[in-house]
This record gives sequence, structure tokens and C-alpha cells, in this order.
Amino acid sequence: MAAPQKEQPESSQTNQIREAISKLAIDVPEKEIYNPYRENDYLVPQWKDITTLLDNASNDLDVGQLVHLQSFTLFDAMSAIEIMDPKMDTGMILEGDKKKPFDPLKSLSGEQVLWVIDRLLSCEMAWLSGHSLSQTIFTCMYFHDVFSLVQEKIEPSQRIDQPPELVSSVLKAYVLATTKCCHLIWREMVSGNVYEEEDFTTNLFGLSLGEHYPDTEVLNAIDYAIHWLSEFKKRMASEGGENLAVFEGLLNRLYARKHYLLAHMYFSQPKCEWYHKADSELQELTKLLTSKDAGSILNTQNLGKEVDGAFDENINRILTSQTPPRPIILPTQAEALESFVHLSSRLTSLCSIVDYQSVASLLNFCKYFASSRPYPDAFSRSKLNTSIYHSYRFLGSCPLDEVVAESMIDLLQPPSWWFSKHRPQSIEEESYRETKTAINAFLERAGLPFLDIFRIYCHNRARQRRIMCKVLGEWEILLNEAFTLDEKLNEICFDESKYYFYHWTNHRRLNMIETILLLGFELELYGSHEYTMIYWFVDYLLTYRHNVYSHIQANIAISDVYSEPYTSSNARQSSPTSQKRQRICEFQSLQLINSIKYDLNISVWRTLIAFEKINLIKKPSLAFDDEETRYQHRFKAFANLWNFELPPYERFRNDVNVASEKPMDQLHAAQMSLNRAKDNLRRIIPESALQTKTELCADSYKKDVQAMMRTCISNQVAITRIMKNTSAKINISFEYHPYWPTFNVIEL
Amino acid sequence: MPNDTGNVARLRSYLNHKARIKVSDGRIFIGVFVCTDKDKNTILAHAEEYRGDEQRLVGLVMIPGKHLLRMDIEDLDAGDEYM
Repeated sequence: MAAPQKEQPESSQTNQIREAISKLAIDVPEKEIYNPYRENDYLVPQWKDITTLLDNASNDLDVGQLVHLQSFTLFDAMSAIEIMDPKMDTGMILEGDKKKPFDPLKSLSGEQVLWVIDRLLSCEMAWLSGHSLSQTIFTCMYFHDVFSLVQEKIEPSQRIDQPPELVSSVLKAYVLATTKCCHLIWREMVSGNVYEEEDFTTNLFGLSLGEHYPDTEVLNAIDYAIHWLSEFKKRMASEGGENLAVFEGLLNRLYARKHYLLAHMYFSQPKCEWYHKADSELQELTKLLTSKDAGSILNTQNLGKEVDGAFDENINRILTSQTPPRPIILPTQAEALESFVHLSSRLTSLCSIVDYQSVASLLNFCKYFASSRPYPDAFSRSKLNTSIYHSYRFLGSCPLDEVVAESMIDLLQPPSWWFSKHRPQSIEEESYRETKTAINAFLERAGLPFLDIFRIYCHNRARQRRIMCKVLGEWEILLNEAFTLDEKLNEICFDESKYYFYHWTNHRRLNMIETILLLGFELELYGSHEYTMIYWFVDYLLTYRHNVYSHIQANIAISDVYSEPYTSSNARQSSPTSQKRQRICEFQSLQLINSIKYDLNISVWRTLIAFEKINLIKKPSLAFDDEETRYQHRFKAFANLWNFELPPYERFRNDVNVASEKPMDQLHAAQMSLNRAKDNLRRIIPESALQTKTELCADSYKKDVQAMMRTCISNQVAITRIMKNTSAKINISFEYHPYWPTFNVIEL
Repeated sequence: MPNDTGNVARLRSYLNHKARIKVSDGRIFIGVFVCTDKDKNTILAHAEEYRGDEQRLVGLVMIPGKHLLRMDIEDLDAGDEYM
């Protein structure tokens, strides 16, 4: 393999400097070093020694008195790096710095190579979890010297199971491939979908991630390494070698890395065209990572032998001069492997979005993707974001207004000619044109706000709530526009008033309010004494939504299967498989889910009220707390919504007072609600994924439904026990569902 | 605030000048002199660090008085004699 440095044009000075930094040879020979004692330079002012003046002046100063610039404050002073403090000063020479530099050109045993590979994986996973490159990947000395690992240069070893190829082929190929993967990830991450420093650090510190090195060369290197290692393993087996498991483990690691690299390469292609290929690579990867055979990655984790000095944390001191390092603990090999498996399965699920059946199911996918635990890493989130919208198209191919139209059809089934290109004979030419213009204007207008809902789920959990609060205002405006459009359409098309666009927009808005409220529980924003207030408001919301649904059902006839096929210019639909797409309306299952949530929610509220009344839950006495102020503050985001007024605080207080009068009645009512919720859950479980629009996230959906069921059952048990014996202690935890708590009874 | 003595006033006049400080381990820092106190703890802004042939930007640094061996300031007045 040709050394890549030679392929570079030598003329460009920036390239040279960059390479020099890459090799950590900071003293670039071409660059003239500025001499700090430039005594002979007549063009610049001379230095004047003021050490004595400083001594005298400091004697004259009072303790605590500063000589400083007007613009320079004590606060600024705090961000200065203290020189000669070993924790902050990265330029200080420490005891450990005196050891001789690491020699990457030594031959290594199989166990040692295995250790380096596993440690590098730990570094890679730490980087993906948000740490800086300088504290993770860049600490690997083989990363910096990867191009000098040539077979002839490697110091030969006496041992037969320690040939130089283990370093020059196997380790080199693996490190190169890892670098390439990192580069592909880095390219995605700099596209700005996630927050730098909050989610991820993309700082390269002027080093190169091998971007000039062609993909094919890396793949060739891996293929050659695999070939060589298989042959070597065979030879060792025939000679009765002992540590065959190590070589099998190395081989599996190379295969896994190859699949992972290929998946990233497929992912980086435009228009999501290669996601199916990426999918199969990732499935192979998951298979390798979870395999428990002899010689599998999982079984050979403990065979590695540490290579002294192969990872040097001090690299960070050289690279980040202006900030003190953050403390970092690398994940152990087992933890790293586990996160790798999670990453692989997350990316696999991401591949499925190109085959989505309906916009609603894609939205559900995003929703469950965001709520999956462990929370998705920044790369997967960013990738999902890019996949959903790039090249100014939905999934890179579909215009946004068509997505809005599809979503409307999924929810409400408006007259099909609204979105088709053909005028039905019953409609006059003029009114057809007028209707189409108005509708198309709205679809275009709603495109970006609707897209935002998808993209919000690609942020971290705390951001999701924050951004939703922000976009709520935009949806208010959209709701008004939708209403105006409906009024206009009512004049042209219907005898009676029907509000399709209003209901669609309102539905999105209410979902967002629900998510904002309930996410607060998951993010632990509310104190336990606030639960009754929040659940009361959620109850208000769910009741409101129930009424909206009833209204829709009464005024808009929605059949189970949409009768007339939707014809659009959508490229995806012209493929032969999607011709058979059945439009199953999501409305019925939405109603059912709403009533389940309603019952579960009201039961939790009633139980909380009753338990508080009979002193099973104690409210903390807060010194400066005013419940009404808190009420206004908590629901500030919903204070000025159109057609969804924030109920006055007195109404909440009144409801609580009335409910507190008869705690036992409340518990009875809670039991009834839980029974209803359980019945409805039993009805929704057998519904097909197409009906509930969850075919892309079937597992997470199932888990969610099961969690609600478990909460219902365990709360029923708790209430029954308390009704028999009120002298007990209650422990509230979000054991099963992140939004509704379970009450655990601890008998005294 | 007590009135400045002559020494302090002179030192104050050097604020915002380029300063060169040698520290106990032989490194030299060149940066803008922005602050100092009774213990000679001195803060330089936009500082560059020099150790032998190596040079790098270190930004805002505080050099503790006990490590400060020598401090020079760019002498803007001396420049006149060559004019």
C-alpha cells in the first residue's frame, strides 16, 4: 500500500503543517520560530525589565487590591488558566513526561493487538457519547502512526505466533477503518443537526481523520488483513498453536469493523437510496457482536493483554492548550460492546424508515425512537434528522406539501379530489381552481412546521420539550390560518360546516401540549407535591381532546378504509409495492388510546388526592411557595392559546377541595377508571400495527402498552390494599411507565 | 480606594502593554498585561507560550507570583531614540 503522504501535493504549505500536526511533530521545520528574546530586532519596541518595579509596587499594594484594566473584572480572571498548576497547565513538565516515547513499530502478540482494538472501541464509544476526540480516539498512539506501520519497519520477534503482520496488516487495517468510520460520523455531525458541546464535540484539533485516504484502500486493507489472518490461523492450527481463540476473536473484530464501515458508507449516500444495503450490513454486525460462540467478540474480551503506553492521555495536554481537560472515565470493554450493540440496533431501526407505510407511522417511529432507553446517541439522532429531510425533500425525495396532504388523509379522510390532480365532474371548473389554490397554499405553509415535529424528536430529550414550547406559538398562527381556510372551503364545497384543516392542525397542537406536559415527568421537572396539579391539567387536556374527537366523529364521516385512492406525483408511490398500500384510518385507535390515557390519568389523580387526604403522602412545607403563582408559571406556555383556554386556578383548587372530601369515594372511582383502562388496553393489544400506525416501532409500542397495563394492575393492587388497611406507607415511583407513577404500599 | 503610590501608578500605566514573563520552569509567556495583585499573581491575555523551539497559543493565563522570575514590558518610549 502506498503511503498516502506521497499522494498529497507537496507544494501546499498548509497541508504540510497539517500533516506535521497530525504526526504531532509540532516543530514544523519550514516555519520560522519567533524568538521571544528578539534583542536585535530594531523594528519593534525594546523590552524593559520591570521586575524590580513589580516587586516594589506589590509591596505598596494592600491585600486584595488589584491593578487591572477597567474592562477586566474578577469574573474574567476566574477563567484564566493557572500556570504551574499540574491540573490546568498543559505545558508543564510532569514527572511522567520523562518516560521514553512509545514505539509503535514493535511487534505485538495476538493478545496485545486484541487489547488495543478493544481499547480503541472503548474510546470510540466514549467519543460518540459526547467526549472530546483528544481524550478518546486521539489518545491511541497507533492512530497517529498508522501510516508508518509498514511490515519491513516492524521490529521482528523471535516468537512464531508474533509475526509483524499482526501489526502491519491486522492492527493497521483496523485502526484505518476506525478512523474512516469516525470521519464519516464526523461529517454527519458537523452538519449542525445537534448542539455542539451539548450533544457532541466535533473539534478535530487540527488533526486529520484520514479524509484524503480513499474508502476503497481501507476496504482493501481490511480484506487483506482478513485473508492473511485466516491463513495464519489455519497455519497455527495445523502446528498445534494454543491461542487460536485470540486469532478467531481478532478475525471477528475485523469482520465486525468491515460491516460497520460499509454501513456508514451506505448511509452517507444521498436520497436514502442505499439504506437497504446498510440494513443488511448492520444486521450482520449485530449478529457478530451478540454471538456467544467460542472465539466470538463477546467471549474473547478478557483475553487481551495490555500494551504499555499504547494509549497516552497526555495527548490531550498537547492538543487543548486553552482549556483544562474535563474528567473522563472510559467505558469498560463490556460497556463499550454493549453501547456498540445498542448503536447497531438503533441504526438498523433507522434503515426501516424508507419503507414507511404512512406519515403517521413515521411520526410514531420518531416518537418512540426519541423515548427509547438508553436514550439514542447524538449520531443516530442526527442521522435520523438528515434522513427525514435533506435536499429540500422529505426523505430526500418527497415534497413537503404532499407529506402534509398524506397526513391529513390518514387522519380525517377529506374529499379525495382536494389533493388529486383530476377535477371531479360534479365540481365546477372555477370553484375547483379556487379550492385547489387555497388548499395548496396551506399545504405549502404547513410543510415546514409539520416537518419540525419530526425533527424535534431528533434532539435530546430535554431539548425536545424546550423546542416544543417554542413552536407552540407558530402552530397557533397556523391554526388560525387553517380555520380561515376551512371557512372558505365550507362556502364552496359543503352544505354544512366541516373543519378538516382546523382539526388536523388542532390535533397536532394538542399532541404537542400533551408531550410537553408529560415529558416533565420523564425529565423530573416537577416536584412530587406538584403531581396533582399537573395530572389535573393533563386530565383537562385529555377531556378536551376527547370532546374534539367526538365532534370530529359526529361531523366528519370516517370509514375504516379510505375508499378513493390518493393519486399524487409522489415518486415513492409509483413503485410497484406501494400500489397495494392500504389506507387504514388511524382515527379509531387514536380515540381508544386517548380514552386509555384519560382513565389512567384520572385514576392517578384521584389516588393522589385520596392518599394525600388520608395522610399517606405528605406534602413538604415550602417556605416561599404560593400555589397560584406556581400554577401560572407551570402552565405559562399554554396561557394564551386559542380555543384551549387555561382554566383559572380557582377551578383547580375547587376540584381538589371537592375531591378531598370523600377520599374513599375517590379510591373507588379510581378503581373503576383503572378497570375501564384495562378493558380498553385489552381491546387495543390485538389491533394490528397498521391500524395503530406502529409498524416501524412495533416493539417499543408494545412495551409502552404493556407498561400502561402494568401500571394499571399494580395501582389496583395498591388501592385495594389501602382500602383494607390505611396504616401504611406509600412509595411513588415511575417504575413501569415514565408518565404515570405506580404506588407501592409498604405496610408498617 | 487608597491613592496609588508612585510605583503603583507607574505599574498601572503599563496595563494593556505587551508583557514578557519568565517563569520558574524556564518557559516564557508573551501577552497583554491586564491584571496583577499584591502577591504578583499576574494575568496575561492572548498569551503565547515559548519553550525552546516550541510555541503555542495559550490564551488567558494567570502566572502565580511565586513562579514569576522576570517581567519585561514593551518599552514604547525607548523606540524614539532610533527615529
